[in-house]
Amino acid sequence: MRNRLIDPVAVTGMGIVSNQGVGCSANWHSMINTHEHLAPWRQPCEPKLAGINVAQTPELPRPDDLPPTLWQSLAGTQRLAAIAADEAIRMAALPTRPKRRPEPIALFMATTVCGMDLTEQFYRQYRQQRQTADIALLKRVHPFEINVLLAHRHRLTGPRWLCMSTCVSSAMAIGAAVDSIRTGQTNMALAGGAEALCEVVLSGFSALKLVAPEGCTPFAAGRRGITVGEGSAVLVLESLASAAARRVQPLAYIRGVGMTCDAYHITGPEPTGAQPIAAMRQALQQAALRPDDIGYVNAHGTGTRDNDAMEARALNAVFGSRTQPFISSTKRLTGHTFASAGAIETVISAMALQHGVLPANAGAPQADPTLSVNVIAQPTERRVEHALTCNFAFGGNNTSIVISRGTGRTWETL
Amino acid sequence: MTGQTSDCANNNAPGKQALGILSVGICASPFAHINQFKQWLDRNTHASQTATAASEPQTPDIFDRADRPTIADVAADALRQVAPAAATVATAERTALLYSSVWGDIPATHEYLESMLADAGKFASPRAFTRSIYSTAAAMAAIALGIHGPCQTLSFDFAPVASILGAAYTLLAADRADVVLLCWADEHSQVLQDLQLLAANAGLGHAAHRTIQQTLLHGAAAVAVTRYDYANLLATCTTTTHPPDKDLNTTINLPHSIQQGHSALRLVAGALLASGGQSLSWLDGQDRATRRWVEVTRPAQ
Repeated sequence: MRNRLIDPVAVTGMGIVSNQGVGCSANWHSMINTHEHLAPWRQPCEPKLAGINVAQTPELPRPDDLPPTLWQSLAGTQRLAAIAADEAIRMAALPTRPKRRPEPIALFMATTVCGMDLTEQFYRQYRQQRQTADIALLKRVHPFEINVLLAHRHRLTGPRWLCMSTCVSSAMAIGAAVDSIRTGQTNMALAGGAEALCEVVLSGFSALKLVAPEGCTPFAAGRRGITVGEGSAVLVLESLASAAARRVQPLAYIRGVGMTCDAYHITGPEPTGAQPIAAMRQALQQAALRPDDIGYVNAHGTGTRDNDAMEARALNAVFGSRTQPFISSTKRLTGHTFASAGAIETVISAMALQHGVLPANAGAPQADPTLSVNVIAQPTERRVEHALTCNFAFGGNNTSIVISRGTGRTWETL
Repeated sequence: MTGQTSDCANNNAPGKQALGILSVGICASPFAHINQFKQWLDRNTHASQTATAASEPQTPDIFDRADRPTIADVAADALRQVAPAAATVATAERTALLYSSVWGDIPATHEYLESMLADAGKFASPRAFTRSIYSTAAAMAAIALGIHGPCQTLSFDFAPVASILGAAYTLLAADRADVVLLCWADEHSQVLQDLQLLAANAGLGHAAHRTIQQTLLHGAAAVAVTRYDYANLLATCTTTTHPPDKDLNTTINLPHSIQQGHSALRLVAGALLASGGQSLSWLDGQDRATRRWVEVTRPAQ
């Protein structure tokens, strides 16, 4: 009997919002020109945070079906997810807001901050005067409210959950979608993540002394920390049979997803990288590929001392120091978008495969020589068949995804 | 069991997923351990239509102790109770953890917000920030138990037991693990009570305020699940999108606190009662399009 657990899963739609722009096309054009848009947060915040460069999205266009009052009442994560999901669904040639769908579509999303922007607003009022604090602000603070919004707007009636495992969350969501499709529980799923800037995250990472105020420099010798970012990416994933039946050409394929846990430390990575290595190998094994089949790695590359050192060790262990594929971290461009990083970087990798251009390791064209990482100094034209993304998180969670080039039409024709 | 890829379900009915329960654990008010819960169930549960109302437990709230545990503490305690049975089935690499909390560590979030806003954030507490992250409790449990499989913190807008069982089923069916440890943890805090009061005073409806009014577990419950056809099971649980066959069920008069409490308590109770041949089923939740039932029965011999 054929092993369905290694079947490729088709990516037939993608949507992305980041500080690089709104939509795949805007993101891609900005990214291949290595445009950095880092700046201090536009929102008023405590003085010690005001000078920190962050990666903030541009003003978001309100979808026609969401009235202005509702749109303004949503949490930032919900607005970002709504925009990214709309684009992914349109690109997949699915009806955007049908009365009903012929079969259930699953929904696996991710966030960490949830509605923390609303919680902060509420808590400021609550501190001042408990009885008059606007409790309605808390209507949409919960993480699952992202799923409620997307499921109800797009009539997604299949299985759904939301992952909150910090920086690997949306990669885990993609993994769940792939697993659900491969095991025959659903033929189609939306998967992704959304994360909006909020003071708690900026202040929290500052308190942990993990923020680089000027901007991150992944894998550089003098790396100082992360750039806090916001954004969302959503993918439409479906079985090959479903894509064929709908006559849509896959933009890319997800071939393998690895997930492991260090069980080592709450915030720091286990230094040898044993479990990240296991996650990469798991993804390659599922994809039935060898390390030298991988032409591009979109690294987690946060720009923190410990993460990049551990990741370099893991990449060297999996690929060898002399035969490494091209490697870049795109976090200087998008910022570290935490729960949505996995999905954003999967979309970036799929676009890189489709266009035959690999994005630069922005912020650090030369890597720390002690790390032995083959970083891409500038955007490089290179036709690559397979890419690998890596994400690592607080709590020692590790994910890796193998993406292969698809045959689908470019989103720029939309 | 490593490498098995057998279908977890015992039939092909659409939306039906069956799993085997290996063991259950609890550290939720007022039970500090599954043994206390089991003894209380034995005394107070009546498998009869005519049974009188079961008495409520009278032991103190675990969060009222002088050494007040955190959400992470109670989650780890509950998970430690199920870990030995899980270890007989799977290695650390083949063990997964799914953790769910409606509110996360509210005291830590409160503490962090306060430290962030006081004194212009000069003394923002990195420790409280780390604890306030939803997934920290799962990370601490993974460290305590040495789990190297997928470790996920999940949130569900309805059917908290059926949904997490569905996620576990997927991990097993996709051959990512041989055992999945499930854990639900929350606590009723003073801040939450304030919010509930504010919501009630503001006249906000239940539908608009499911986040605040959602039933909370006060403590943690844990369940170790594996494939339904494993030999040494405590019970079998099935999730369906259609009502289970009523003929299979014995009517069990559970104490009010379990009937009205978080459905994870019903799953734990159901698993313990199944060994005595009793079955338990309930509608775990519904949204506009879907209903999810859970049924716990004695495992097939």
